[in-house]
Amino acid sequence: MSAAAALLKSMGARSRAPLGLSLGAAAASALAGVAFAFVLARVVDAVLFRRADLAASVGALAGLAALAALRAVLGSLADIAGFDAAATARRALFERLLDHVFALGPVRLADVSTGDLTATLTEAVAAVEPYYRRWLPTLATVAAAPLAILALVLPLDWESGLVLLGGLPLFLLFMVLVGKGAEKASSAQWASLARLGGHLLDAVQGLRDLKLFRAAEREIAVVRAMADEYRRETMRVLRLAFLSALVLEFFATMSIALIAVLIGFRLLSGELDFRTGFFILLLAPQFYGPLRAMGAERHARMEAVAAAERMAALLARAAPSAPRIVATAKGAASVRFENVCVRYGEREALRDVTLDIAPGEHVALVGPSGAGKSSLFSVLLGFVAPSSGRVSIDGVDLAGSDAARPPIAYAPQRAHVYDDSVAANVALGRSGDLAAALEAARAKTIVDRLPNGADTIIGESGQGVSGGEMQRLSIARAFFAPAPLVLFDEPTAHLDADTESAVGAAIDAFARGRTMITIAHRLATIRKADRIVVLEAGRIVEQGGHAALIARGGVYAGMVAALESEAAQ
Amino acid sequence: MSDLRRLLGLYRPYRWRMAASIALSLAATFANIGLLAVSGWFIAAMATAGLAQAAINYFTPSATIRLLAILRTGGRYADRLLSHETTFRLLAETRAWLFARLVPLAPAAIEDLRSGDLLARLKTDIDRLELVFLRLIAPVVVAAATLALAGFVLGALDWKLGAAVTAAYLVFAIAVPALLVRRSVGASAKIAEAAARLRAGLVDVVQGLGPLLAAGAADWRRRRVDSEFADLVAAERKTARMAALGQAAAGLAADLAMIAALLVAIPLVRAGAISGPQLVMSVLLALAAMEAFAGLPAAFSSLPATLASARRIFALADRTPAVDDPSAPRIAPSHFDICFERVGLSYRPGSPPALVDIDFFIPQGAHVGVVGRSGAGKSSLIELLVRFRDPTEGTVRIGGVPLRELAGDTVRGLAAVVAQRPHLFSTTIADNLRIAKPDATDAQLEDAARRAGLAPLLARLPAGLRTEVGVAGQALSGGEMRRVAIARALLDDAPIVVLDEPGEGLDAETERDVIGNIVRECAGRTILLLTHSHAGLDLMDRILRLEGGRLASQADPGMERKAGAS
Repeated sequence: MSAAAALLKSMGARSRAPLGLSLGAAAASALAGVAFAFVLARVVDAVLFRRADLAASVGALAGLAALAALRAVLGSLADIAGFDAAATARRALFERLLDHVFALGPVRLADVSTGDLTATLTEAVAAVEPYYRRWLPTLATVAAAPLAILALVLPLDWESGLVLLGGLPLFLLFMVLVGKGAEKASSAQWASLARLGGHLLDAVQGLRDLKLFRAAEREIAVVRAMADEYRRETMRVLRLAFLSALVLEFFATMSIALIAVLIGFRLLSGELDFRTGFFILLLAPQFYGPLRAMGAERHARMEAVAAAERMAALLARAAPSAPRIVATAKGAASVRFENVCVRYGEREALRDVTLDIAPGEHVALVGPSGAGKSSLFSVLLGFVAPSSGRVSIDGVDLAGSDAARPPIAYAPQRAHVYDDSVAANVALGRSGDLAAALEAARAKTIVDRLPNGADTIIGESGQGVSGGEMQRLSIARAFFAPAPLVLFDEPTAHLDADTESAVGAAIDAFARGRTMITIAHRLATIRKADRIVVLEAGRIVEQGGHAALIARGGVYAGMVAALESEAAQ
Repeated sequence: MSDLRRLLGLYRPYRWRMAASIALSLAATFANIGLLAVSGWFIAAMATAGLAQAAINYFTPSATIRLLAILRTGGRYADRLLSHETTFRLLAETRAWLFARLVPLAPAAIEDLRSGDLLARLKTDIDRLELVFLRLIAPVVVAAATLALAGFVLGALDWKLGAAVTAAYLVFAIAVPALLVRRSVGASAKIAEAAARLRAGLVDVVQGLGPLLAAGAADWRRRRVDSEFADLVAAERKTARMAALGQAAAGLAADLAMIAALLVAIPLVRAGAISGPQLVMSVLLALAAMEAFAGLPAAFSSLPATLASARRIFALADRTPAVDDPSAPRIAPSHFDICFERVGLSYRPGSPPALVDIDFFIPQGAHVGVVGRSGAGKSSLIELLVRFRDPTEGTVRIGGVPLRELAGDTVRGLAAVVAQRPHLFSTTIADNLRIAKPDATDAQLEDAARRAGLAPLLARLPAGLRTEVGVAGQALSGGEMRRVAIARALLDDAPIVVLDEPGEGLDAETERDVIGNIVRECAGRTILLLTHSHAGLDLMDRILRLEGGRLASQADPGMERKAGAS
C-alpha cells in the first residue's frame, strides 16, 4: 500500500463509528430501493393486467410511501454521518500535520514555500473529505446493491441477469485502465496547485518590492500564466474523469436499453410476465447506479490520494524528536559543542566545532556573514540536528529520546510580529511581568503611543510599529520569561544610537548571572563579552578575550582595525 | 443580490459557451427521461400486445431507445467538458484580474490585510466561484426546463397527472431544500471568513515558527489555529446537515412523484382515459425527472458561502488606491533634483502626522544622509519619494516636476531602493536580481553581485547564482539577503539611489565596504542614505536629521559626527 493510501486508511480508523453508520445507511438505502421497485412493479402489474383499482392499490401505495420515507431517512443519515466521519479524519490529519510542522521547525522547512505549506494544511486536508463522505459510502453501495440485484434477477430471468453480469468485467477493466493515467494527472494537478499557492503568497508579500522595481506588470503576466497552467492541469484530470464517466455511462445506458428491448420481445411472445419484466427494468438503473457513481466519485478518490501524497511527503520529512523544554532552578546554563558538523544539503555550515561555554559566561560570535553563526544558534534551538558530533546544555544531550533543554531567551535578527495584541506578542501565552519586560526593552513608549495601549492589535508586517520598534518588542519577548541561556542575534541592529545604548544596558542587566551568546557586529557589543569566538567558513578560527586576540594579530585584529578606523572618523 | 448580479456579470464574455453547455445538458437530461419513459411504455405495450396477440411496431421504439442512449451519454460528456472548461477559464481570468487589481493598491491601500487573507481571496474565494455556473445557474435552468417538460408531457395526457408530478418536485425538490437552507445561511456565509482566518493564521504560524519554538510557546498559536479549524468545520457541518436533509427531500420528491402519478393515473386507467402503457410511461417519467433536481439542494446550501466569497473578492477589488496615476501623466524629468516643499503626511485622517512641514532641496548628484530614531519619519520620506503615498500637505518634486503629475512607475524608475525589509522571492539568486533588470546578462548579474560583496558566498555555493534562496531567503543569512537586495538595486540604473538601513545584518566592516562601494559605483548619482548608525555618513555631503516627523537640522557630516559622539 502506498504511503498516501495508508495515511487515508489510518485516518479513517479514527472515525470508525460514523463511517460505519454512513456506509451501513448507504447500503441499506440502496436495498430499500430494491424493495421499492418490487412493490412498484406489483402495483403497476395489478392495475394493468389484474384490473386493480385505486382502492385495491392503496395498501401498496402506502407501503411505497413508507419505503420512500425510509430511504430519505437513510440517505440523510448516510450523508450526515459521512460528513462527521470526514470531519474527524480531517481534524486528525490537520493536527498530525501541524504537529509535524512544529517538530520540523523553521530551518528544516526553509525549502518549502509558506503558500505551499498552507495549501497542504488547508486544501489538501479539505480534499480528503469526498473520500470519506462519498467514495467509501459509494463503495458500500457497490458491494451491497449490484450483488443483491444480481441474486434477484438471475433466478427470475437469466438472460437479463447475463446482460447485467456481462457488463461487470468491462466496467472494472475500464476503471483500471483509466485510473492509471488519471492518478498521474491528479498528482500533477496538485503540484501545480501548490506552485500556484506558493507563488501567489510570495508575490503578495513581495508586491512592494516588485513595484519598487517596476516588475509588477511582469508579475501579473506570471500569475496569469500560472493560473492558466493550473487550469490546464485541472482540465487534464477532469477530461480523464469525464472520459471514464462517459464510457461507464455508455455501458450502463446501452445495457439498460438492451434489457428493455430484450424484455419487450419476450413479453410480446409471452415468455415473460409483465410484473417480472417491469421489476427487472426498474432494477437495471439501480444495478448500474452505484457503479456509475463509483466511476464519477473515482475522481474524488484520486484527488484525495494525490492530496494524501502531498501530506505523506510532508510527514515523511524526518523530524528528530525535539528536546523537551524543562524549567530549571539554575540561573545559568553550561553549553558544550563536541566536534559538531552541520550540513544543509551540499553546503557545510559548521565544520568540527568544539566549544565549551561555562555557566554565566558571555560569548560573542563574530565572523563574516555565512560563517556559521546562525547555524550555531539553530543547533542550540533544536531547529537543525548536527550531522555528526554532540551538543549538550547543562550536560543533557540535545539529541535522542531523553533530550531536554532549559528555556532559551531568544531574539532573532528579524523580529516576527504575530497577528495579535502587543501584550500577546510579548507574552506568547506564557505568564510573566509584561510591564517590566516592556520597560526593560525600552518598549513602553511604543505602547503608550498606541491607541489601545498593550491591547492594540498589530498586524503581520507590524502595522503602526517601525522596524526598530518591532525589534524592541522582540527583545521584550525574550526578557518576558526568565531563562538560563540567552541567544541574541544582533539584538540592537535596528535601533538608533540612544535607544541602542539604553537597550544594550538593559540586555546587560538581564544577562547578568545568565549564560549569553550573542551574534555581534558592533565593537561595543563584542568588547563587553567575556570571550570572543571568531568563525570563518564554518570553523572556529580564533577565540579568546579582546586583548588577547588583538595581541595575536589574526582575523579578529584585522576586523577590529577596520571597525576602529570607522569609529575614528 | 447585487453581488449575485455582479458575479453573473463576470460570466458575460462566456455567455454563448454557457448557453451551449446548458443546451447540451438539457439534451442529455431529456434524453435520459425519454429513455426511461419510452422503455417503460415499450415493455408495457409489448406485454399488452402479447396478451392480446396483437401486432405492434417495435422497430420505432427500440431504435428510439438506442438513439436516446447515445444522445444521453454523448450529450452529458460534451456538456461536462464545455461547462468545466468555461468555468476554469473564468477562474484563471478572475485570478489574474484580481492580482492585477492588487498592484495599484499595494502597499498603502492593503496594509491592513494579512498576506494569508489576500492569498485566501486569490485562491479559495475565487475557487469557490466555480460553483456558480456549474452547480447553480446551469442546474436551475435545467431543473426549470425539466419541470416544464414533465408538466407539458404529462399534462397532455391529463392535467391532473402533470400537476401532481410537478407539485411533488416543486415542493420537495425545490421549496423544502430552499427552506432548510435558510436555516444555514449564516453558517454557510461564515465559511469564507473562517477559511480565510485559518489560512492567515497558518501563514502567521509558519512564518513565526522560530520564536514560538524557542520560547516553547508552540501551544499558544496552536490553540488558535486549532480553534480556527474547528470554527470552519462547525460552519461546514451546519451547512452540510441542511444540505443532507435537502438532498433527502429531493430524493423523496422522486418517490412521491411516482406515488402521486399512480394515485392520479390508476383511476384514469380504470376510466379508460389513459392506457396502461401510458401509466407506466408517466411513472417512469416522474422517476427519471429526478436527475435534474439532484444537485439543487447542495447548490442552494453553498450559495451563501459563494456570495460571501464574491463579496470578499469585490471588496478587495473595489478598494481605492492610495495614489492615483494622473490621467495625462507627464514624461520623466530630465534632471533629478529632489525638492520637498512644506511636506506633511498623515497615514490616516485624525492620526498624529508622520511628517510635518518638511522642507529641503537635494541637488542632483548630492549624497545625503538621513538620520533619526526609529519612528522619526525616515521611512515615510521614502514612501513619498517613490510615490507609494501622496503628501497630505505640500509637494514633492523631482527635477521640478510634482510627483503627482507623474505615473507611479515613472517615479519609481527614478529611484533604486534598497528597502529596509527587502523581500526575496523563493527562486534563484539570479531571478531575484533580474527583478530589477529582466534582460540582464549573467555577466551583469555577477558584476552586481560582486559589487554588493556577494563574491565569497557565490564562491561557496556550487550552483552559484542559480542557487535557490529558499522561502523569504531563509537559506541565506541576514547579511547575505541584504547583499542580494543591494545587488538588485545596483542593477537598476536609476539616477537616485536610496539605501534604507543598508547596514542591518552586516558587520561594520562590510557595511562600510558596501556603502563605500555604492558611493563609488554611483558617482554622479544622487544617494540617500537612511541610517540610525553612523557608518557611511562620512561619505555623505550633507545630513538631514529627523525628530518626531520634523526636520531637526541640516548639517554637514562633521557636525553630525560630533553630535553623535556626545
